[in-house]
Amino acid sequence: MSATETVTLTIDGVAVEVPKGTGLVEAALAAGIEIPVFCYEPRLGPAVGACRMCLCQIEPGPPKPQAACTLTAQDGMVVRTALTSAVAADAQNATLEFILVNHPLDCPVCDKGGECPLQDLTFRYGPGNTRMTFPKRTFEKPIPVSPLIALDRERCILCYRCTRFSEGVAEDGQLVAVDRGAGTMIATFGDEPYRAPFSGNVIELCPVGALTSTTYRFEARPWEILDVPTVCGMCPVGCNVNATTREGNVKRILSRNHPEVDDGWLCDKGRFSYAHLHAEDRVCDPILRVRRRGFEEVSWERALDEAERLLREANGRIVTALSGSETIEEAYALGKLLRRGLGAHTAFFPEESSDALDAFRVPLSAIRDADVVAVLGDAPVVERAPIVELWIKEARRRGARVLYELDEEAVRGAETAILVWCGPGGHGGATVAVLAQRLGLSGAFYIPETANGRGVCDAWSCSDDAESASPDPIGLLIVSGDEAAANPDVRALAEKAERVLVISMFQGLAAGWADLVLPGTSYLERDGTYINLEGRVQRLRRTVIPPVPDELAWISKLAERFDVELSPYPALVFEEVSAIAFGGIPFGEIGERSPLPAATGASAQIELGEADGPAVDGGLRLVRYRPLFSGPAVERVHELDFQRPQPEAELSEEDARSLGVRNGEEITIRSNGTSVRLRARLSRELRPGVVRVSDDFAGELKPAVEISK
Amino acid sequence: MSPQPLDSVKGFAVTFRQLFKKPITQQYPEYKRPVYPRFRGRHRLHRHENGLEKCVGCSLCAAACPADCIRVVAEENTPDNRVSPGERYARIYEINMSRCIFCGYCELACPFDAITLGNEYEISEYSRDDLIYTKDMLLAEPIKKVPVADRDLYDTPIPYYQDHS
Repeated sequence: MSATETVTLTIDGVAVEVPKGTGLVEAALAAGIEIPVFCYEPRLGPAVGACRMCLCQIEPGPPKPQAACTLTAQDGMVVRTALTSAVAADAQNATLEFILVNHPLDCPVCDKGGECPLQDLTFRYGPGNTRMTFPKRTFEKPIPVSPLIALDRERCILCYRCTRFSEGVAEDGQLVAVDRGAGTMIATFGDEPYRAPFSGNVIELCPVGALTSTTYRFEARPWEILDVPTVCGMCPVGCNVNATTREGNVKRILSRNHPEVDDGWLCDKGRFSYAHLHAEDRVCDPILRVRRRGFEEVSWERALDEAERLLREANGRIVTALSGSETIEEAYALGKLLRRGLGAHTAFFPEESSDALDAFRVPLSAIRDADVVAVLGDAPVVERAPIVELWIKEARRRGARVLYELDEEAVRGAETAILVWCGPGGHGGATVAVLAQRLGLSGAFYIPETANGRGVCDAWSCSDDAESASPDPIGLLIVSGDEAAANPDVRALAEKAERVLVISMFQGLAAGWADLVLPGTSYLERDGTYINLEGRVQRLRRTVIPPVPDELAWISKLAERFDVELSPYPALVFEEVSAIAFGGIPFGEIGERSPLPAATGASAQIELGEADGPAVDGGLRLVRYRPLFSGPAVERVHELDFQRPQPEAELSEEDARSLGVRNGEEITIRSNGTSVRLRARLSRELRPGVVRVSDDFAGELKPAVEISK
Repeated sequence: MSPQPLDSVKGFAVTFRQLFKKPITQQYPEYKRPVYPRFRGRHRLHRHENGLEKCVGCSLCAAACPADCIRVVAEENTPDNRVSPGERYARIYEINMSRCIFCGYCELACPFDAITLGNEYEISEYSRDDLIYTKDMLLAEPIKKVPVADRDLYDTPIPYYQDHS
């Protein structure tokens, strides 16, 4: 590594020493000097120097100002920015005047107004007056790039940040610059909407108000809002986000760049699904099943009485179905109430979870620096944990080999090899750990399906030690959370239970099968902690006050009636859990960007069976996956409807060749008497012998399928 | 005992002289003294000549307001419901008159001259809630309760926009 190799240069008379290869913009920043930029964004790959805002006088070099963002610091370089060089100041002033020639002065109407780099830099570096006396160009606006993004061509300064993101980071290649010169416009191909899981990032990248969010359109101005730092609870990555709130409502979600977790990117699910807080069918009062009269909204006092009655009548024969989206505190509180107060130890977890991978714990950013990344498990990473897909893509761009089929030689031969397991057969990471140990990997990830499955599991096991047999028949089934309420396995369990208590946000999910529905809250309304797929404990903050008391508040009230001591404050509850599970870190010290705990020492040999292989002879193995844009919250955000998966089946190229199927062709997938007709999509990210279909279209298909044209 | 008895007589002479002058007290509710043309009273929102509202709901008045008494909620104009020229209009525009200090910063901040401070000062109410002026109240042509002084009688400067346009 050349980390110690440095160069010394002078910027505005300040000598500064930076590591070799540092860009001039960063080098100037190290000297405390700002070089203004619009198009420069290191996360988007090599600089393009499109906006010319960073013009500086640089020696040695040609006797004219140069774009500083495209240059790296060299030994003995003398850089003079607008602060000390009249030439550079003149150039920057002229650049801004040129950009503003056709930029409309509609800042009072523009959503970016107040947080706009063009406004700020014009104020600091630009001309105070305009010489442009002709009418400015006007275009039709706003142009919908997708139902989520509106384009204003008049405001665009052609910095190409958005197209560079689309091409070079998300690699969806959908957003391009069409036409040339002054007629250049940002557009998608044809009239197709920008349909991609990361499309919302271009809104945040745009340095002017050219690409704006349709959901945030005219909702608030920057001086009226409050950004609350929290963590996204829609997938196991746990991206750090800022929830912009105004007058007690979440108006948008922005990224809060945790360089080890998300690198400042967000997926559209995390960015736009906040609207589920105002879903039409949100449960705001407890609902009780009343004989002959159907369902009735009741007061909280009455609801707690009923809940107590249900719990006492069940006589300990209680099963709790958890959804993996509860905070650690909630799961612990529920566990403590049910296990210590009622001796009901049986819980139904949404998925397996294991601490075996803690020995291979690395931050997600380690994927970027790996030489070999093995992505196994057959389920699409982007549908479960979208940001991990971006890390894998970044690794590939940096020259890593990305394997979708285990090639032990390549993995063993690599200096740093990372394993990402996404799909069935991981056993919560236990089998992945066995594999990682055998291959001597530097890091391994298991991608769970739920946002906090690991935390819920840990919290539940912390709440008591005793064990008991599963009750039969089930006296009371407690369904905690919407994901559990939507889970068909939980529904099947409810058929067998005498009574059902559902905690849910949405009436559509809870009504009809529950004896008592208690209103739930969303991750944006809770204070608490989540554990992400790396094993990082992250802090959720309450961004808005929910319309109903949060779970912890009423669980603690209920616990009083069963003589269980339980605080309604997440900080105190976390302290109890932390003492057992997280080495006693206090709630207040988790911090805004929480660090990753060190990897535990190699655990005792875990002996488990091999990972489930494709044990299907003849034909193909069907892997069904839950699409990214699905789930109770996303279904209630209609702006995201266009992102729902297409009726497609993913096939590997080898299989397609042997079957004679071309990309886009209609195929029939048949198994055990049922068949589905879907469009074939060839994928390089799939190993032979596997066909991938989303849950929306897989229907009744069994794991062993046959394909015909 | 006063050391200088003549001084009290002098004082009473002043009082006595006033008896023959016209009183300067103005019988306020009956007589309303004209205000200066640039007096800062109750706000008004304005319309363009074609009837569209000048306000675009940019909230700059709310940002400038030191008393934090303005609340603006904007919405998008649609072809069916065009309230202001351009893309955006104020769906809600409220001024809490009980908090307003009549500094006129909102007027200065407004990029479209949509809000100005008028001449009225008689805005007391029996309830605090009634002091929250809505957009409809601010847009309505106010009843002239207060006479405005004759512009020519006062030495007021010419507004900058008449001078520089």
